[in-house]
Amino acid sequence: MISVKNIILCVCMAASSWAAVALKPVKQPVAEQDKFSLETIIPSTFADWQVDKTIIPVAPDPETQRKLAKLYDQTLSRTYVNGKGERIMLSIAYGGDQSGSLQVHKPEICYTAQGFEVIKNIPGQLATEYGALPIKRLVAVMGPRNEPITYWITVGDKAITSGVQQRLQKLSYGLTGKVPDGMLVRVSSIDTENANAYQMQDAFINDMLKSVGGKDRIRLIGVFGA
Amino acid sequence: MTTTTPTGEPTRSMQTALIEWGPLLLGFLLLYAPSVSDFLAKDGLWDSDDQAHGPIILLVVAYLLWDKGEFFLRELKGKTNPILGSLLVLLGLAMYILGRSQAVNIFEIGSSIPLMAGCILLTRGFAGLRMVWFAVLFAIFMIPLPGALVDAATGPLKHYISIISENVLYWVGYPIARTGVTIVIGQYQLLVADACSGMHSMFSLSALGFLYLYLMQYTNKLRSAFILAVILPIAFVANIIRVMILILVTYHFGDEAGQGFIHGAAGMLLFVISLILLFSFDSILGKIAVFKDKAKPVAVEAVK
Repeated sequence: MISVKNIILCVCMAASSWAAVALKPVKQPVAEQDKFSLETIIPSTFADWQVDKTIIPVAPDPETQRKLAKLYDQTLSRTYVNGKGERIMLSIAYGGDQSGSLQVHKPEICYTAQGFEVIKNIPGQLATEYGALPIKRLVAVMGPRNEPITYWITVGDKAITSGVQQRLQKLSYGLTGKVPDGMLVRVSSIDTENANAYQMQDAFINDMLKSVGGKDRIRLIGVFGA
Repeated sequence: MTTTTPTGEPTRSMQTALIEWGPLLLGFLLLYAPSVSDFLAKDGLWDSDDQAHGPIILLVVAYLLWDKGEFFLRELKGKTNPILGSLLVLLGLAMYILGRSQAVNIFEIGSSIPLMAGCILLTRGFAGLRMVWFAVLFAIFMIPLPGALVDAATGPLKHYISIISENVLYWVGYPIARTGVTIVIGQYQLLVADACSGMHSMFSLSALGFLYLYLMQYTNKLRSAFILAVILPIAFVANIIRVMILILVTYHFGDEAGQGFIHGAAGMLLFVISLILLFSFDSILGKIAVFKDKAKPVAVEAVK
């Protein structure tokens, strides 16, 4: 016996199947003028800082490298040194597609995965000329190495703090048919004095933001306000 | 063609059943065939080690529904539940559209639960849902654990696993030391990685435990409750045994052995250990009077 009810249900399901395809955000090809390279937008010298060429960054093991290549389109890893000989490590990862399971990985997870113990994890705000940047302060410890970390994440054109916010920002992009990109900026130093290290990192971040162009700065920290 | 069930009720032929249920089958295929093919693709959800149990759960759900097929062949008797049924279907479809279009796996897969329940309520009412409730709920185990939960639990789990492995092996007399989740044994330094937390094996073992209970059909509630209560501890212990075996293999046979095929084999071993522990626990329970099912005369005769 033909069941009209079941046919109606079938039509509803077919319509939903179609709707899901129609609502799927499409990744727009990046316009030529919007292409950028982290390598060039972050100057190798600014204010009192310059890239410390004596330190060759250690390449991550092949397994990690494979994962990174899957997650990020670009990564940048540099060590800067200032006139006083203080060193700061800067690490930036950029992913053009933050939809779905591809998304920037939080440092507290990465550090723990590499054997560090993250003993502090406090959300905070960093005052910049452009607005209050929502950041996170971590302290990662492995043996005698004490590494205070400051980082933030942007999704689309906003810096976000919590995982929930990250998800909502992704959804608000996705539901309008756009694919958000994402950036993770991490600054850290090896220092037993946490407060001292954070102060230096804040100064470094502000110096860096002042040295990059307006458009590139928005890539780094997003736009502020509603 | 008309056959007769043991109860003497005439069942309808496969053909009439297919005419009735065909549209629903087609609907489910239209919704989930694309999802399943995406999940199975390279680098898809089910391609990862963490979610490898996904397709197995799907097959189990399909089998459990098939197993009750005779019920669906019968004609509707009794009431349906149109209001609750429609609401569940709408909820399921909304979850599906959001989840599939925005790549939120939890919604995409989770949508199948209200959708199945809703369709059954609409066509066969509560009596129908009662027949297949387990199959419908079992689909929960296809849903990947929320990332936030995994992130929150992985760290502490790894930590405890490292501490316990270190202490046990130290006590046995191995030259072992630990900082955080890094373990040094002899000349080797090992890192207890995320995968070692056993988070996902706990989840898939829970699925197995529930399935076991369902298939055993114990009428003794206490026995079921005890078995449910030990599933997670068993998975935890089995995982520690796995990590310790890997540490010892590395120590005695070298780094290559510890990272090679034995690493994969240890994963299988984890399941075997867990299942043996679970079955032994259950058979011990079975020997204790309080946990015995209410007397079944036939079974008692057979034992004597």
